[in-house]
Amino acid sequence: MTLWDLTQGASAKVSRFKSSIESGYRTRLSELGFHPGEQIACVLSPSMGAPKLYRVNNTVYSLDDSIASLIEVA
Amino acid sequence: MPTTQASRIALIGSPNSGKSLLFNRLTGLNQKVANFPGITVNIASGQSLDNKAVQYLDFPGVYSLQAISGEEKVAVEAFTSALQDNLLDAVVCVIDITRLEKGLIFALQVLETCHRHSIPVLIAANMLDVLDQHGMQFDCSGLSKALRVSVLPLSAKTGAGLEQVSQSLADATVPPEKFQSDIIASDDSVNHLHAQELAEKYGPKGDLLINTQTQLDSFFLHSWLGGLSFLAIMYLLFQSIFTWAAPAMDGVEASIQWLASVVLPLVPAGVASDFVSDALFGGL
Repeated sequence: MTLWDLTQGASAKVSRFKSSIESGYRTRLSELGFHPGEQIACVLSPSMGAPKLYRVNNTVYSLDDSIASLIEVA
Repeated sequence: MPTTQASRIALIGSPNSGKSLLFNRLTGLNQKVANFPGITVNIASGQSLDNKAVQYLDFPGVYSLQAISGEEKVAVEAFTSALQDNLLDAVVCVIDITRLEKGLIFALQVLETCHRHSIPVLIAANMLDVLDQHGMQFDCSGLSKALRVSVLPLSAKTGAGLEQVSQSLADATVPPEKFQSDIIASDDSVNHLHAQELAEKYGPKGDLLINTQTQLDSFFLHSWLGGLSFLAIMYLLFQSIFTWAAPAMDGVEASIQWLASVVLPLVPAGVASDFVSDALFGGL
């Protein structure tokens, strides 16, 4: 299951990044708080494939399919 | 920090951490600020209001010193070049205290870089006003001891704590020591583990997300409420231009016609009269 599969209101912990992720994106996502073990909540999930809002600690980020699908959660 | 010659102090921090507002407060200048990232796109400089021998440099906001985009690379290279060329006397790392873990990941990178270049660092823990609004606190002295640098709680918005900046910079003569921790991890993850540990230990406890903003987001970004809001806003915009502004536009047109009726009889017939009649008043 990836972060993109989280429905609105659901939360899960980051388990790992997919191996296909670029190292720059992996580092940046970690710096923003999307690192393994961190609890992430899906705050808003609009329809028609629009980017979703994810809450990490006290910050909300908007991630689209191409990035959120690279983060595996459990 | 020597005060007998002009000192250059860099302000650096993540986007939307309040650097430019702090810069404006410290210098009395009017650098553009807004509540979204990416406003500062060049390096602004200005003299300190307290001490004319101090010059502040406002660097563009970056999420990390490990740049991944072109504009970040430009900003990070400008900062590291200034350090390498000994152009800076001290660095003020601005962090958003309401998002301490994120701010500390960046601050730890800055501390490490400044340690390598022997440049003193002061950490400005901004957004104190938001903590006050929520009745929350953080352990500033504990964080300062753990990082072994001065951590200054302040609010660039209200001006609280700003009077301490000049004095703290004057006292900041020693470069930061290398940050020590019991945590052992790979280089890739060690900074965020340190930041997580420090934020949990010394940061504000509780929910700080601004709920009003979340409620507005859930309305304006809703699948169909957002679309309806867009149509309503566009309808109001067109109404304001074509209907509500009509009396004012009629008034302007009547004034121009009255002015033409006064001026045209005074202009002799010929090219000049045609120009005034057709080009000036006709064009208006």
